[in-house]
Amino acid sequence: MSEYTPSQNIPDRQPPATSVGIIGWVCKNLLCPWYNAVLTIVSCWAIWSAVAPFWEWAVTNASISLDPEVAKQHTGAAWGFIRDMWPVFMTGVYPAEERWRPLIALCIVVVLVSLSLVASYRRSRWLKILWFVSPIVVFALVYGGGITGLPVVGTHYWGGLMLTIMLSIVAMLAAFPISVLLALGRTSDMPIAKPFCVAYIELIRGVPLITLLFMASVVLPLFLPAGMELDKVLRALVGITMFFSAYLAENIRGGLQGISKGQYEAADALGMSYWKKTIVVILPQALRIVIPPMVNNFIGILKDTSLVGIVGLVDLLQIAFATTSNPKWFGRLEEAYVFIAFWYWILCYALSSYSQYLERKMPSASK
Amino acid sequence: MTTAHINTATHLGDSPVVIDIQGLNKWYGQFHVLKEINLQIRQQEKVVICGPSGSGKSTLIRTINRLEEHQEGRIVVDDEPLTNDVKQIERVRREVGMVFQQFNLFPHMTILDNVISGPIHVRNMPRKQAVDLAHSYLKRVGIAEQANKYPGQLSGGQQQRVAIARALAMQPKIMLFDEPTSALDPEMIKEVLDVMRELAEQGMTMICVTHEMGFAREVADTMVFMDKGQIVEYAPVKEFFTAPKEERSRMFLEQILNH
Repeated sequence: MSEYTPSQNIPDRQPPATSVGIIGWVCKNLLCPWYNAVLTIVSCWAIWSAVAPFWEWAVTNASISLDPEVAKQHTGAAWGFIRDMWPVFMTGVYPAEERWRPLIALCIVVVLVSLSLVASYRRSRWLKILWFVSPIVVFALVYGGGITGLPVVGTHYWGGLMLTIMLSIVAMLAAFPISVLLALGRTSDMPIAKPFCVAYIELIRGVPLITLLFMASVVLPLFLPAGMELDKVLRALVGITMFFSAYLAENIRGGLQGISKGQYEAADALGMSYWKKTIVVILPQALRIVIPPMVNNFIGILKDTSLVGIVGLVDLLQIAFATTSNPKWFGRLEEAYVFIAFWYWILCYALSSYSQYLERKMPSASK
Repeated sequence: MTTAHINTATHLGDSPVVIDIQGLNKWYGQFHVLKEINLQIRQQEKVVICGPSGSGKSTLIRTINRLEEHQEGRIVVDDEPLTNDVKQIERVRREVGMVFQQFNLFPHMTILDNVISGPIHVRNMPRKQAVDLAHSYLKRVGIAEQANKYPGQLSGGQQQRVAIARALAMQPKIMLFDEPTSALDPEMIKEVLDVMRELAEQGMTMICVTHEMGFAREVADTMVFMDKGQIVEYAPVKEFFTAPKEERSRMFLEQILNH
């Protein structure tokens, strides 16, 4: 006979010590069962053997002296090269006595970004106006001339990290609205707009960015009326923007297709016009879905601006080449590459973090 | 039976016709979904459309606000004939509220923003006025406290009541309900039907596609039974439930009432 007594009022107990806390975590993730312990040891060894030589080069054996002769006595990195040349990395051949101008422009942008991150300021109209005016102010500061009374520094003097950032930001801002229109066109059933959008996207996507950059800088001037000359930076921008708007459009189209038919019908049933429906109901949801691939694209833009070296612009990557052929620090390629890689990484990681923040902040499009 | 019907709901005999459907035919590709539909609906009339699935009930009410195009026939809603004229369609939709089976709330907006979206973006109402209006409708459907939540945080029944409030906030003359309780758990059906009942009492013109026969018996003036794209029976509610004329409606009623 079974002796089952229905028990009542069992008090809560702590879970067993091996399943919680640090001990529980280490045991579960690192040591148990035995093959996890082996994997842990192998992984630690692999990480160590990769990091140790780099550590020796970058820290233990490195020198930070500004004197190249001192640096040569060390087997490791010569960070003095970066100390010596970093203004050139930042602004390229921008005249040294005018470097304060891009610096102030940078400060303006940093202040604006910081203000925007304060939640209570974000909705204020002043901040929006400031954002709207800031590109003009930044351009006026960096380019000079006109009412600013500053000496003109033409775009052929722009370079380094400054040029990389400017190219990427302007290309992102320009490519985004174009790509939204392309995606809407491609998902519509308008008789002329749709084939045009499909053709544009398929054509541009099927061509390497380098080709487009060449086209923009070599072929485009042939079509312009005689005597009219497009700025070199502007031409590169046109190429990058054209290229990325096609890619971005396909991502956004993916988002548009993720919106259920019911959403369109609900907006229709309220009597919303096409644009109201698109702007109020469809796009906010579609763009929320495509934040990860869109940021992926933005990161792509940022890094692919390094191709503008091909058409004679001196961006961050080209600066690395240029500074290492300087006789004083000749051949310090590793330091230069590590330094610019660090900057690309900082920028890309910032973009990525911001996108993750956006994803958390915006209510999910799914139910 | 496909000729024009005499309106048999006597207390509505003098009300103006607000929806007039004449000789409506619709095809999906080769498939003939709606066949020779004639239907007049008077102001304040409550019409319940029932019938087996695939009989064209939903398609019929979706042609009334042009969510579905029709190929033949004439539909006049509130004196506006439905053609391909986009502005005209938008005018009709402003006067015709719709509630869907799947609620179709905008998931990226709060409940309040859902309800004010119509008045603000379609009627160009000032925000403050729209918010007041929205609160009064949310109160009416019993979810005033949830105004700042998102649709995903509400139960199905609550979402459907918000959807009703959103449609009502446009202050429509006609309300269409497309199986409003079919996607709900049984215990939530009542709360939605109660809201609809109250709406009916206040004199709204309503067309409901539903399988809730208890609700139909209580609220409807007129029953429309559809099968295979045709209106098989059109009768005052009492007559339909006590003495259905057609064999097919009788069989349908037997199945649905004795399950």
